[in-house]
Amino acid sequence: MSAGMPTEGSPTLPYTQGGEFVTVGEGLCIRRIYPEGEDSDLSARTMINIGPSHPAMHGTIRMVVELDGETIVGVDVIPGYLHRGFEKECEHHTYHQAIPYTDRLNYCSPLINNFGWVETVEKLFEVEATRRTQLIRTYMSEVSRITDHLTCLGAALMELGALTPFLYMIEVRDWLWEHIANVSGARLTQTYARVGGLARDVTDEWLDRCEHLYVEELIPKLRDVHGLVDHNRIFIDRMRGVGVISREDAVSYGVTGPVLRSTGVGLDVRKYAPYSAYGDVSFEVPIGKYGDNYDRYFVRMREMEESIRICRQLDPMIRATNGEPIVVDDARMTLPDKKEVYSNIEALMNHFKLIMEGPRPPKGEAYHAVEGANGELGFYLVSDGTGLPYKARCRPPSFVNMGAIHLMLLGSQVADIVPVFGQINMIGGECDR
Amino acid sequence: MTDFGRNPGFRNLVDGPVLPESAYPGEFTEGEIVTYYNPEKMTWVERMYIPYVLSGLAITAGRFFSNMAQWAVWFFAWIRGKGAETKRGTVTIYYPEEQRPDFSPVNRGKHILTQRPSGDPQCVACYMCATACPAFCIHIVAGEHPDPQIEKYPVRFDIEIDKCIFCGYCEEACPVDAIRLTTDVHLVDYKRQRMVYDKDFLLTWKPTVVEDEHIYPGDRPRED
Repeated sequence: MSAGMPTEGSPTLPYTQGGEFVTVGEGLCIRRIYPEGEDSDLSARTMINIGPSHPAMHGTIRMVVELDGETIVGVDVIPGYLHRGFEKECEHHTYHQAIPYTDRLNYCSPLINNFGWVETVEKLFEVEATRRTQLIRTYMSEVSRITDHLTCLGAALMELGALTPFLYMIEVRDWLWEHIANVSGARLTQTYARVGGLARDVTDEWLDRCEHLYVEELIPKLRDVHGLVDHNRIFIDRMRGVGVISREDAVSYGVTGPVLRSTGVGLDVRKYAPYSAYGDVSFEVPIGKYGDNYDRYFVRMREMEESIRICRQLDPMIRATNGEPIVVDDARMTLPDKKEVYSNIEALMNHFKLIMEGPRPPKGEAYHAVEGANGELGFYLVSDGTGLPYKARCRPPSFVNMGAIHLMLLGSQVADIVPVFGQINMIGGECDR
Repeated sequence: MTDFGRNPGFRNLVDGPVLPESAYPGEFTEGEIVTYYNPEKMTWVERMYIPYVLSGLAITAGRFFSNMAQWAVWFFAWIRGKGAETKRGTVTIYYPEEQRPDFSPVNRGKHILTQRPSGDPQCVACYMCATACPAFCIHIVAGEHPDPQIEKYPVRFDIEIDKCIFCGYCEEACPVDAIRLTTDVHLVDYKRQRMVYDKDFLLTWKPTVVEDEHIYPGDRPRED
């Protein structure tokens, strides 16, 4: 490498696992490590691009990898651009109109994003959702978490060549998505939350069927997947001890979610800052030990079990609140009842004002974080008193987790890139700024 | 090390204890949870590779045979004319002759414009749907209706269906129940120009029963 002179940063950065920053080519700065006792000539090393059109590189990710044989000695991750412009688009849409945008952040678990957004707006308004809304939101978040983990693990296992678990998991996910569509109206882009409530109420039959799906579909399939891969030597060889990140590194880089919990840090927003009805249910935060791929797999599998536990605790609580309102009785954000709109001029005017100007929270700012399937999903909103957010900022777990992936990749093999990347579960819509 | 212990309910686990390492019970019932399993070394059975491959084969084969048995049960029930209420082993459906049994009755699909008893659109061209639309895909041109009771009506009402994100906000925003989303999802064409649905096309849906002046029962249930 002719351009191998260190330029940026210092070789003794506190977080690095050794190595130094070097610029290679145009605008590329990779972190390179030198294996122990190795001062071989750099000309034997190979630079290759993985992605952005590689099928395992979700979306627009490109990895510039420097190889010594099969060993990765330098890596630069370029997330690319999806050109969604979520944060800027929010400034041109009302708080209400931005809810469909949040569907598309992490499209494996859209409901969690929905609820995170509307709860932030509710924080601006300083109102609290009704009890039934909170219970349903918690329930739906957990269903969404299950679908997200099913997607992530199914795809990650498929990339390792295990096609059967993929089929099992995607089948369950399909049942669950269609089941969510039975109450929200869409399979993927659900737009279920509303500022101050929900779009539609759930019924007892819906809850019955959800429990039926858990018992008949999800739990047997999870057991099957455990039986298929847990002790399989190929799986163990590919996962155990691969993509290791230390606790200190994970904490320093702000990694959250299953990736952080796999290192043994039990950080979970649901526990340390309970929102919705998470304070009323008991559940465990599964953690790993070594911070490798195998731990991440197990953390996700166990989180699904905990999600089922949470749903089963919430089920009778939701039934007990049958008939209670699912929207707050606040004319500042809740659309009036349709019957009122058809017959009552005040309600009609309120309806027109809410649609034309949107909900208008008082001046101020708010940050609210929910536990997304990949980690802490936070929204920061600045309101200037109008119906449009003055500034909307999303704290995406995928993007932050991607910032630490080079630590997991350095020193491992080329073939480990795909499983490590699959276990990060980077979602392009969320990673894009 | 970072002090996380100050947060209530948060386990100080950076330096704290990890989950106890225990055997893998393999069972999954309420109250009994699959515990953590990641020892540093493989057991000799795992090292042999073949036993667990065979047990995996047993799982897939078991699922195959149970599916086939269920399908056979369904087949004989179908011969006796009771196929509809019997569970079929596989999830495959014969699209488009069949619709999946759990297809959402409230699915948001193609838009329709409801009609007055005279056949005119119910719409009063108030632009509420076009205002609420996050994708800005509804375009309305208002005109004066000869009937002074109605006053305004849409001369043109176009929906760019390829831009539409099917959020249902137009339906929610409409103050006269003029636009609704049906469950129809077959919105395909070979030409992009034809993906703009105009008023005449949106009005081709005919209400079957007229019960109320304002609210026509559609093909989807309404809560209100």
